[in-house]
Amino acid sequence: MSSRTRREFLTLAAAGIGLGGALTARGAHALGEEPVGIARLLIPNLPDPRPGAIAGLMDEVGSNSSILTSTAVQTVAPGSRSLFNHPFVVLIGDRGFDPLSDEAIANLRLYVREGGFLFIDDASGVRDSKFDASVRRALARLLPGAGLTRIGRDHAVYRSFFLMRGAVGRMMVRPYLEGLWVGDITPVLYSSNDLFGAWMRSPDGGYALDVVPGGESQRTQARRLGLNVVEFALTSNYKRDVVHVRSLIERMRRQGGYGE
Amino acid sequence: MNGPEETQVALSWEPLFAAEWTWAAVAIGVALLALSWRSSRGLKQSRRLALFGLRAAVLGLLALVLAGPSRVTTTGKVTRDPFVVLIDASRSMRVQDASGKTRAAEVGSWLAEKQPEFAKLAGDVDIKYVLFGDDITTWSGDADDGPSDGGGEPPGGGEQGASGGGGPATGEPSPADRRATDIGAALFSLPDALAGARPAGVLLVSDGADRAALGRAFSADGAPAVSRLTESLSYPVSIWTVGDENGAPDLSVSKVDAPPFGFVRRPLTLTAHIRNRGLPGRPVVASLRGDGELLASEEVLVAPGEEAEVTFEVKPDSIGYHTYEVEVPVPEGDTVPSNNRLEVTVKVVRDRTRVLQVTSRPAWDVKFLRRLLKTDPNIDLVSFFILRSNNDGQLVRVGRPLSLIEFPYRELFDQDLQGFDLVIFQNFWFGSFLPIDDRFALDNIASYVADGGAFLMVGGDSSFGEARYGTSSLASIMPTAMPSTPPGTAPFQARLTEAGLRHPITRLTRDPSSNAPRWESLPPLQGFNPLGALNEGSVALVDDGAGHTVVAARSVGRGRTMAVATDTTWNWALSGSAQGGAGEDHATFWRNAVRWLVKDVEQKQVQIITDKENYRLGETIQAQVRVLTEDYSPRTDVALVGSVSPVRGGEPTAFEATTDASGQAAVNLTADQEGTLRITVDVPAIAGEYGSAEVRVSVTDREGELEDPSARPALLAAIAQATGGATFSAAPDPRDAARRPVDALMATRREVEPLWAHPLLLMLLVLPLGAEWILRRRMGLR
Repeated sequence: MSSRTRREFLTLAAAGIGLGGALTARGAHALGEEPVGIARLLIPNLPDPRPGAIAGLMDEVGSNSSILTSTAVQTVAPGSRSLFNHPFVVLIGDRGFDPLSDEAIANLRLYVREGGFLFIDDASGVRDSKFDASVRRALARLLPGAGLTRIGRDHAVYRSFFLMRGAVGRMMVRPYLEGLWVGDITPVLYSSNDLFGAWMRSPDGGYALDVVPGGESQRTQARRLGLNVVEFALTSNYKRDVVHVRSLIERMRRQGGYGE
Repeated sequence: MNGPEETQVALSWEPLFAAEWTWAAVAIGVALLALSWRSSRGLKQSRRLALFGLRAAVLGLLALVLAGPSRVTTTGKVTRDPFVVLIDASRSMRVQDASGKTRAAEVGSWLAEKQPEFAKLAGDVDIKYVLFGDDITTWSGDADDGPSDGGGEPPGGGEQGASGGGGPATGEPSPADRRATDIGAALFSLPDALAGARPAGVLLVSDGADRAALGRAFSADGAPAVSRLTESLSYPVSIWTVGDENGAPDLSVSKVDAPPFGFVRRPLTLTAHIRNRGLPGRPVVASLRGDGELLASEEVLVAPGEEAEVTFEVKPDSIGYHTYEVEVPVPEGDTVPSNNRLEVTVKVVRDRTRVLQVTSRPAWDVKFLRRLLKTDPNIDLVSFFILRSNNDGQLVRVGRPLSLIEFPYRELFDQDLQGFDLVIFQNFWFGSFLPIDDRFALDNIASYVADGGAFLMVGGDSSFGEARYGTSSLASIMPTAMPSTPPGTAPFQARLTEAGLRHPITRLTRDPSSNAPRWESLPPLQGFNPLGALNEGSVALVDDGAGHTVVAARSVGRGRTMAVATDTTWNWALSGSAQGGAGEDHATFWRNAVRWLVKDVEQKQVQIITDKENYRLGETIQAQVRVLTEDYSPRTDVALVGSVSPVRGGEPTAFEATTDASGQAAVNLTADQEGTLRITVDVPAIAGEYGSAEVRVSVTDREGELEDPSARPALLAAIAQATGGATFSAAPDPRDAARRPVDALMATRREVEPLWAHPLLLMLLVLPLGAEWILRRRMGLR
């Protein structure tokens, strides 16, 4: 696993100080903490439809935030004990898949209840796709009685780094994210909009896929949402702490809403 | 009183043989009589009767001999059993009835007015004056006096209660300061109080407000039960009931309902019960005071004979013991002013611990600690993550869409710092905010800890020596030195030190013997910041297995600090859960750490635990004192000193104890003063505030004497009836009280002279025997 060198030290947010200049890097590697990485769930007969996209996302996160990231992507089976070595896993697909075994479901259930985070991305670009059906079937077994619910615009994922209005992706299949709740925490988020498609690069270094219908501005929004998701995985709902809510409300009031 | 020596002579019977032999002899005698009669057949009737009479005379005299007649000569002095005037000296006698006088005043007036009658009575009996309540004492002019030596006048001066003055001879009220009324105990213990003398009679003067055995029996089964309990008394008890049966008019705070404990800054509900007995119904204002300060007041209307509730809601603003007092004014005609207020003590504990968590960047270790603290209902957590990189990536250039807020470091580490119970630096370095000068913040944190705050530093590449904290103000408060040595990144298995085996922070299991194995089963950690030598007052709890400290804790000033020099304990949570159950160890460890840091009460070195917070007057306060060492093992055979003192001021009562093998000392104290009592314990062997503890309890006299001071004439009448005494409804002439003969001979010498061997008796026996024999011969009988 490669680790990203920490480039700069942090300064205050733009609203506060606006200082330029970076400090010298402090250390080439984290203490014992591995850089933050994402693992991909390995499902039989479900290949990765967006190779390189996860690495692209983590590179963006490392470049734009204080998080030490790793662009290496490991794969892990949902029924494997090694799942618990990866606090953040994603499931990306563009086709249907067979029902997960009971062991895999039980493992995933323990995983999300004990602090793991699962992000699911439908790369098919089609509403009610076979992948979508497979996901819903699996999640219904994951937390019986919980059920996927629509994530509201005030959810912490929309304000974990950027202030956002709602869900975006390479496509706009559904303008919202869905999630499973455990208490007041959302350890499972589901995007129907091929979020990782916005990062996928072609061999020549450009973006491989067009963003529909909003073009590059939509791609920017999608990239921001991706960064928000990673921040959310690490910070959870800390923005909802009272002190942050107050500050956010004041900022939103000054900005006239949710930003641009 | 003893008189001159006298001699009394009496006849006594002391059979020569045992009863069965005597009856056998009687049977033989009857048979002989029958044979004698039969043997005289054929004789004239007059002769037969003469023979029979002589035989009967012989047998009768023989029977007299067998009965063992004896002359008993007793020499001794004549003693006189005392006549007792038993006077109720309990607090209910202070009640002022409809007459306008207190009961004790009624008794005092009676004693003075009846002096001539008492003087005449003294000519016949030896009068003793005895006071009773929950104990019994003779009443003389001197507290050390034994039984009085004659004279029947009521003593002057002598034992005085709160309502007593210069003695009954002056008409002052009789003493009335005993806590309770126990008539049964008083009556049955009179002989002991009279040096063994049995009373010739008792004149009981009381209101009958007994809540002991007789009172309970009367309440349960009425007068017959009282009679059964007292009928075995061997002397008559005459009674005079003092006081109104219908009870004295009274407005009282009869009870205050309070929860067993409260939370700081959370509403706490107190419900006061206001009772009206015999007073006109009108609105009264019930006031609530907390620790002496008026908090609230409510108007309430209580109808005569009814009870009303008043509810108060308060928000205690500090942890500890809070005393609340509810009071109603004393209206005109209220005969028991002392029950118009009632105190109750409530233990207030911390509701939620306020924690500030700051980190230089999001990481899994931060997430899992925050996740744990956030889900703890006892913790109010505020987290600050430094998210912003100053890289001008494309995402950041566009507009102002960031949700980031300015890190309010000045407020947090200045005026707001004291509002937190615990501050966590989790891989946090103030250099994140360059070019600020962070010294003010670090100085403030050091002062904050010295003043009682708690500080936790968790490792990472922006922590400990890497952040150059080893040369900052934090060096003075942290458990260890913080060298700038580069951190290690190798994996290691956390291992408990000797102190860690017992310390509450590292206690993962209740059973100490399984704690070390539990730690050994945890997932390995990876890398740690090097820590230097332990500072004073510190303990190393966990190391890397090679002697390098990884977790240490310290009590410094009035606060506490802790160092956790690794940033991978999150593995215990997620990876540990996959091992089946071990995921809880992450939560247990960190919760233990937070509780210890904020000095959760249960983790103090000296603890006082009482069996409850509110007591009745006279109850025993069962207190247990626990003393622990710095590593929380029991501290055995250590001396402690303590005191109990009223919060409102008063003389303290000291006590001492020594802890046993389990580090505990049991102390029984008496709730002997009404109001709130402060119980403090100091362990001289432990310096500073850690060597002391304090608790508070409230003591009331509810359900005591003054709860219902109504007179109970039926109870007293039952005693009189059972013992053959007289019942007086008005102030009696003491001479009219029932009594048995008072004089008795106290023998000093006793002589017994058997009479059956007296020559005269023998002659009387021989004469009829001889006469019968002569007559039989003359009549031709054998």
